[in-house]
Amino acid sequence: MRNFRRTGSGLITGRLSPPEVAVLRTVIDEVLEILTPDAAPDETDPLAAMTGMHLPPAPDPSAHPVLSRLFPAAYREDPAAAEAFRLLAHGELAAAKRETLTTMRAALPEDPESRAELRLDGPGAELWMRGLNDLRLALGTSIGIGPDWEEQLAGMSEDDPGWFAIAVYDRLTALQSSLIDCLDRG
Amino acid sequence: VTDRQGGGGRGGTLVPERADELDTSSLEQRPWVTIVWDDPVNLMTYVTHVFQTVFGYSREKATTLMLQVHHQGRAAVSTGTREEMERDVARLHAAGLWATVQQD
Repeated sequence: MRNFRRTGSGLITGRLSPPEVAVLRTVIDEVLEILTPDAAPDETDPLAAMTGMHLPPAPDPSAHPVLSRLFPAAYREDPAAAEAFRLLAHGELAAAKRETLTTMRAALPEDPESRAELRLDGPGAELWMRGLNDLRLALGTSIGIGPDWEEQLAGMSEDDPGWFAIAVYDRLTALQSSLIDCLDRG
Repeated sequence: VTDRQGGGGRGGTLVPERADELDTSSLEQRPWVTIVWDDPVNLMTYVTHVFQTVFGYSREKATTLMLQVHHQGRAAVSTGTREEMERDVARLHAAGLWATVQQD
C-alpha cells in the first residue's frame, strides 16, 4: 500500500499506479493553470517603474481563493506592508512553485495505462513533498476541506456529489504522508 | 494542522511540556516575530518537518511548536529583526505554511 520506500542506497523510490498518475496529472495541470499569469508582465508595474527591477509578477490573491491560500498576506493588520511584501516576494515564490509542479509533471508518463516509478534523492524527495503539499492546499481550498474531512469521506458513498474530490484529496494526503515518513526515517 | 491517522500523540516525549521554552525576553530587543497559524490541510508530520528544515530546530522543538499551532491556533516560531522575519515568512510561504510577521 505504501507508495514510497527508502532503498539501501539512500534513495527513495515511489510507485504510482495508473489511476494515481492520472489524478496527479490532472491536479498538477489545474494548479499550474491557476499559478500561471494570464498576460505579459504589466508594463505599469509600480515596483518596476520605481526600482527598475523586473521581478516575476506576483499572483493577485483576489483573483482566486487558491492563490490567497498559497500566497497569504504576510501582515494581518498592515495592508500596505502586506502589499509591499507580496510584490517583492510572491512572484518569485510562484515561479518556484510552478517549477516544482512542472518537474513533477515531467516525471509522470502520458500513457494512461502506465504506472510511474520514481527514484528520488534528498532534494528530489523534498521537492515532491512540497509539491504534493501545494496540490493538497489548492484542492483542499477549492473543496473547502475542514478538520473532519476523514469522517466526512467515511460517511459518503461513491455516488455522492463531492465524493470524488475528497477521495482525490485523501489519496494525495496518503502519498504525501508516505513520503514524509520516508524522509523522517532517513 | 491535521493528523492523518486521527488522534494526536506519538508518545510521551512529544507532549509540549516545555511550551514555555519559547523565550519571550528577547522580544524587547528584537521585537519582530514570525507567527504560524493553524489550518486544516497541513499535516502534523509535515509542519514538524518544515520547522526542522527551515529553522534547523530539533525534532523536539519543532514538534512542540507544531502542537502549539495545532492546539492554540498559532505559534511564534522565530524572533528577530523585521528583515529576518520577512525572510522566514517567505520561506514558510514557499513551504505552504500560513505565516505572518508582526511586531510584539
